[in-house]
Amino acid sequence: MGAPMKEANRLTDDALLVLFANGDPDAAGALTDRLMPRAFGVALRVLGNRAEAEDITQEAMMRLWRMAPNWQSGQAQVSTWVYRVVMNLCIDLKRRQRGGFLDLDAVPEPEDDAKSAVDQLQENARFDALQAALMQLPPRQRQAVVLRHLEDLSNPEIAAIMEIGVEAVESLTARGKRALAKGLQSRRAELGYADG
Amino acid sequence: MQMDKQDDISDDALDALFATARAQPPSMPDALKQAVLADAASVQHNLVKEARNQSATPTEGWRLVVDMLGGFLGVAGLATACVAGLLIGLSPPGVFADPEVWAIFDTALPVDSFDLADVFAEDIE
Repeated sequence: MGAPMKEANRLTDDALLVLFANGDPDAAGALTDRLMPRAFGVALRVLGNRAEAEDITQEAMMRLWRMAPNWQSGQAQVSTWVYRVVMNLCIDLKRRQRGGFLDLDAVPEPEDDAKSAVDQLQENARFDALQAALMQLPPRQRQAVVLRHLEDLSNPEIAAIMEIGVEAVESLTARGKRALAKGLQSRRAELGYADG
Repeated sequence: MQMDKQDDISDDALDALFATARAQPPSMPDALKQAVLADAASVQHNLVKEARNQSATPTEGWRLVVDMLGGFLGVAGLATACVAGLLIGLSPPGVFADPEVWAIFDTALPVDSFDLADVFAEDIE
């Protein structure tokens, strides 16, 4: 029988994946709660399109389920594997689209009833501005910046996901951050950095 | 938020923006979670079914041998024949102990009816 949900939440991703492959009915739920928000968040930031991010997330998770029986514990982190699949799927999608449009309206707007309408609008405007600036970055820089600054991953983790060296990650994130700062200059008002 | 003198977005301001974005991850669509869980259930069902089939079927090598012998019916017939042969060998029926039965084989053909050696000898001559 399956491990109760509370117990499943204490297990590592590795262990949950093995349980899933062995038919445990609770393992998929626990893994989904842990990994899907990360996959979706990264896909959304990299693609800038909610519908595409949903498709990519579902596909990445499907690949995780199918890969479960062949997973070798200790070889890599499951989350790293998922991030890598998401990144590769994003790259493939963009290659297929060849210059797909940026749908800023599709970027989700965080909901927080405690904030005033003005604050909320201001915050939404900031997120939109950030997303728009992210979309102006070259794809590899955008991936590195999203993983480093929005997913809060370490450089070695990002290196493993992007399959490049740590130095290359440092270079990408530094250049990406500079380009982002430059790109946000023209959106100072949206960011709440009004003159005065 | 601070700006530097060229009105660039400062590192601190950018970091603050990142921190705000991190603190408010995008909302997860319920339908997506349901779809992902449905995929998981489907894949898991197939994995379990596959594992059961593998444990229930004979190994590939045995299956090959059985097929070569004509399937399970062929194997059953062969086994029956082997057992029958063994039993006959160990305990022959009484009819084979009767010397008159063996005499049939002795007199079935005349001893001098045909001899290959004679044929060869005639050819040589």
